Amino acid sequence: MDLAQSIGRVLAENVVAPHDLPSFDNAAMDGYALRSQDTQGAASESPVRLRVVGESAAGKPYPRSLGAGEAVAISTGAPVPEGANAVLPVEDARVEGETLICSQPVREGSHIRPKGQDVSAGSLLLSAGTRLRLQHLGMLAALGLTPLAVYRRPRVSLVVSGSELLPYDAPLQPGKIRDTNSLLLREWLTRRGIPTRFLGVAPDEMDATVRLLECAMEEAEVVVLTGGVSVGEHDLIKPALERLGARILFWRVNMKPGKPILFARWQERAVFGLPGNPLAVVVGVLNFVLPYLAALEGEAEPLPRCLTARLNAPVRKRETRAEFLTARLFVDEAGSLVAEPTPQQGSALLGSLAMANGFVYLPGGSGDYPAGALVDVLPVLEVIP
Amino acid sequence: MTVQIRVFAHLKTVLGAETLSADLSEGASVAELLGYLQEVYPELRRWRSSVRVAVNWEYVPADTALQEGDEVALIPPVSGG
Repeated sequence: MDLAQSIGRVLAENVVAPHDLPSFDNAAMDGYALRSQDTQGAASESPVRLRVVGESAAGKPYPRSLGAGEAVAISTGAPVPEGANAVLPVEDARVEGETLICSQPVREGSHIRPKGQDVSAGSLLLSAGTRLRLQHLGMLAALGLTPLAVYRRPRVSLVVSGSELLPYDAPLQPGKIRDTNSLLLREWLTRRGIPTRFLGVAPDEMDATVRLLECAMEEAEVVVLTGGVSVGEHDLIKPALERLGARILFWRVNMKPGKPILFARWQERAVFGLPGNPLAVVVGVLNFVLPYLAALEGEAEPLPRCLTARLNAPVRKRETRAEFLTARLFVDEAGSLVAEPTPQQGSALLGSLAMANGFVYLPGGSGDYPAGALVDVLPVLEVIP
Repeated sequence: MTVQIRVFAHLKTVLGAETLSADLSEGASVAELLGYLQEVYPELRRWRSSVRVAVNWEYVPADTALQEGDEVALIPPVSGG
């Protein structure tokens, strides 16, 4: 795949440098390329005079080798002519006509970016399983590494369930709510470059739910469902999956929010049943769906990246389940990463999510965390896109 | 003496646990604790030089002596992108 399209994709093979970077010695400053040995013994009372014999400009090198007593005007980035081994910056140079006057010795190698200093030919640059990011783009482009072998991306189909759901642009009706999960999931996954299709809302009715799930599983390798995975009478996802012959590999995870999370397989397909509560969806995507998709795509390190932060207020943890708290993460005056949990915590609280830019993770077990305690945090959404 | 250990970030997958406890000889240092953990979990060697250690929520140097009941946090560097 062309390099430009490969950003965001996972490398399918190791990338080795085909040549040095820079591929030739070049000037780090505008000035004069010269032979350092010619300037030995130069002093203000006995300056060395060099003859300026030509110019090396970027893209237009000086065609000959530099002889004794010669110098060449050179611009930043231009090739250092053969024979030259130092550059005297223009700021330090005194020129009279065609003569460069050096009043002190110029050290060998000064103001030269040597060939291979940045990247040396044959070195392993990126391993298979690395996700290509914008920071890799310049190096790969400079080395002409296009096209690249990258893995195919898994496709996702989305189904949300609940008779109460209205489209997000619809006027409210009594007892109904607007569907936020399909919008968040579709935008989140799509922005990660994962082709994602929303198939619609499953009503709280068995046959229609089964048909929609069947359709979702035919469309994509990974199906993400929200709602209908708990234990209520209208929670039809699990029985519908069972009717389709899917194997439920786990259901209910000891965490908050997100306890009713379900994972099933149907033939080669993977099915994630996330709870309907929007924060449970976010936590489920961060901890299960995205790592699964990344692993499926061949990424060598698919698990979410945690940072360590200090709590800026005490947290009393009464639950024994592992917990994810919505939090604002920031760097304080001392340079430490600080996590401030939002005043309200709850799996349905979209207002708290809107205030947050990450989650604090508290492992299973109850206990108190004092202000200043160190905790794992997961930055989300726009913090680390 | 016994110390409680909290494992942070991706070290949880290296050690396969979120919390551990270790029985150490009286006055053992943080460096000795890390040495002991490396024997039990050889994979930790890869991280040894970059793991930071906090005792009772404060970062400490490796020669710090531990005390009964201390809560030790093992914090790996941020890695990857």
